[in-house]
Amino acid sequence: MKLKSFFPVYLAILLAIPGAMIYSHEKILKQGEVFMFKTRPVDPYDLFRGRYVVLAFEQDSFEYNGPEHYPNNTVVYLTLGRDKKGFTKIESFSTEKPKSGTYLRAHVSWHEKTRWIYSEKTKTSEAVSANTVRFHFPFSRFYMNERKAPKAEALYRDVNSPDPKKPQIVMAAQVRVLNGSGILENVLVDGQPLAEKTK
Amino acid sequence: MKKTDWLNQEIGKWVEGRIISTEQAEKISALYSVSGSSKNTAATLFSILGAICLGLGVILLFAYNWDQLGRSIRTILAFLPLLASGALGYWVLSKHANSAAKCESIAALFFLSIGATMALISQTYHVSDDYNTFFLTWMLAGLPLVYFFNAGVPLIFYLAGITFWIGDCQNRGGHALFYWPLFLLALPKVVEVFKAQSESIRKIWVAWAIVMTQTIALGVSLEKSIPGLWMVIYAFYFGAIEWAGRRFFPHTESFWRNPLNRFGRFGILVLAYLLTFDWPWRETGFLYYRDEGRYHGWASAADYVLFACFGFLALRSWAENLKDKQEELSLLGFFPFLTALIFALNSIRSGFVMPELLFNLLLLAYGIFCVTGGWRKDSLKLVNGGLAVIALILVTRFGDSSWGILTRAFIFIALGAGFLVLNRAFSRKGKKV
Repeated sequence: MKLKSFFPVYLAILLAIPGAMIYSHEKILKQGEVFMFKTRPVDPYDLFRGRYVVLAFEQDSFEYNGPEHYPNNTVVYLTLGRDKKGFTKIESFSTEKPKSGTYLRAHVSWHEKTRWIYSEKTKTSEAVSANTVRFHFPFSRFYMNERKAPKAEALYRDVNSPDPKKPQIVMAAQVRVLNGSGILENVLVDGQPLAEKTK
Repeated sequence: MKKTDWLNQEIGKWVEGRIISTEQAEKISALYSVSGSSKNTAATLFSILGAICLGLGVILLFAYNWDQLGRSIRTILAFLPLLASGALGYWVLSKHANSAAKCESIAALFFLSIGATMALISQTYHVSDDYNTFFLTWMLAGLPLVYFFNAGVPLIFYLAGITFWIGDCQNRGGHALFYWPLFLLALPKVVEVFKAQSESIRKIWVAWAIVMTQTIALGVSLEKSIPGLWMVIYAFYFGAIEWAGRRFFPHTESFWRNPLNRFGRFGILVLAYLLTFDWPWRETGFLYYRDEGRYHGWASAADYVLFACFGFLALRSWAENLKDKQEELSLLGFFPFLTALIFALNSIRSGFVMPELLFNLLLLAYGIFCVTGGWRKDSLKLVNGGLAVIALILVTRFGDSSWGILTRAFIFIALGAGFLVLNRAFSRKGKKV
């Protein structure tokens, strides 16, 4: 049998791969539980996928009491909860899948054992003992229109300037979480979609 | 109409009418040197450029991010490039499988369409993976195109893509040695292209892609548990591609038409020049073996396999040059083995030999050998090449502050005296003749 007779099979597989990707993402978006992560955007560029804002999250670490050391890139499962204002907080984490509760699969980005704090008195940095595990979430890019992405960053920078007279805004990533997978659904600025705020 | 153009057209008809096979067509083309008829080559080139521009344009069009279109429309749009290039691909494979221009351009467009589809889906669902995962998935999805089409562009895209991937992979602390299994997946096609009788533009392009990507990939993918072993592997690699150049491009030595051969020779010389410095030799050898942190002993197995494979081919290259009585090439082909020997001796104890000094002397001796050989054979190219090597060494060492001023002064005086003696010897020989 000639190789080219397999071409339709190849084409079918090729179409099935993005099809499967779309199906799994749509499933999470439809059935996943909504969590809001406080965030700050920065605007870079991807050669193939266009402009996006990188999201840095306020709740991306956990003060740990145990003796273990977690090397970078260790896969962990974060049990998610909500604070009084409804924003996501990490309640616990483990290298084993939790049996109950909503959890998110993430990677350890850094296990901080020592923190350097600058002292105004001595004008030097001093090492302080710490035990903080920082995480890298599977959602950190929010793709935006070429003209809107820089506006999103400028919006955050302007409104969050040190000037107390300027109004403070809250940016949050709306994430759908299902069976450990998390998909970024939207980024909200004071409850309004970022794309609308940057029109 | 030129006779060659006419014959080329006829050959195309014979292949389409199944009177002769593609291999036979290539043999006839090679015999009458019509494979690269300028008109056909230009048509192929422009069709490839057109397809690449079209594919890149679609990628940029999607990258703009038309957020007003909504998720469902964008999802449907994502499939359009794949479906269109799939249909075109099927048409080409069914009706024009022997048309170089159509195969090359549609295969190029198809390869880029896969990237465009993946990019639009990633963008729609805010998939946060980096270039690393994106490129690996793209290259693996595009790999079958290398085999489906009678074309070289998908292979070139694949080779460039996996090289980019390992660069990014290494940057993130991943294992770049996975380049080699990925390369092996494309190797049968590389061999098929190289085995073609005619020295077509496709064969030349693939050869260029191989030397450009693999020279980078080799350095990135080596685990380097034994510090300095890279210099021996690189030396063997250049010897191996020199052999491949002679094996697969036997009719030409032109730089542009036979990059394997020229790159191999030039690579050996550049490497030998680098080894005249002190820095590549610092803390190298088995005594400095490392297996901790970012170095993994098990991953070094790939280094040893490459060492053996390239070493074998470099040995073949040297033996064949020796058999053909190619004096300068035999000497150059021996450099990789000298590199291995000096590396091994230097590994016994640092400073046991003075490797950088040895390489200075070896390169100088090679330069002199080329000048005298060129003079004997009346080859200006060889004389100039030899003089360039000598000049490079002299200029580098004259300004090299790591050697004391007095040391350099005595070396230059000794060399000057040596050259004058040589000059005297050659003048006498000339008079006798």
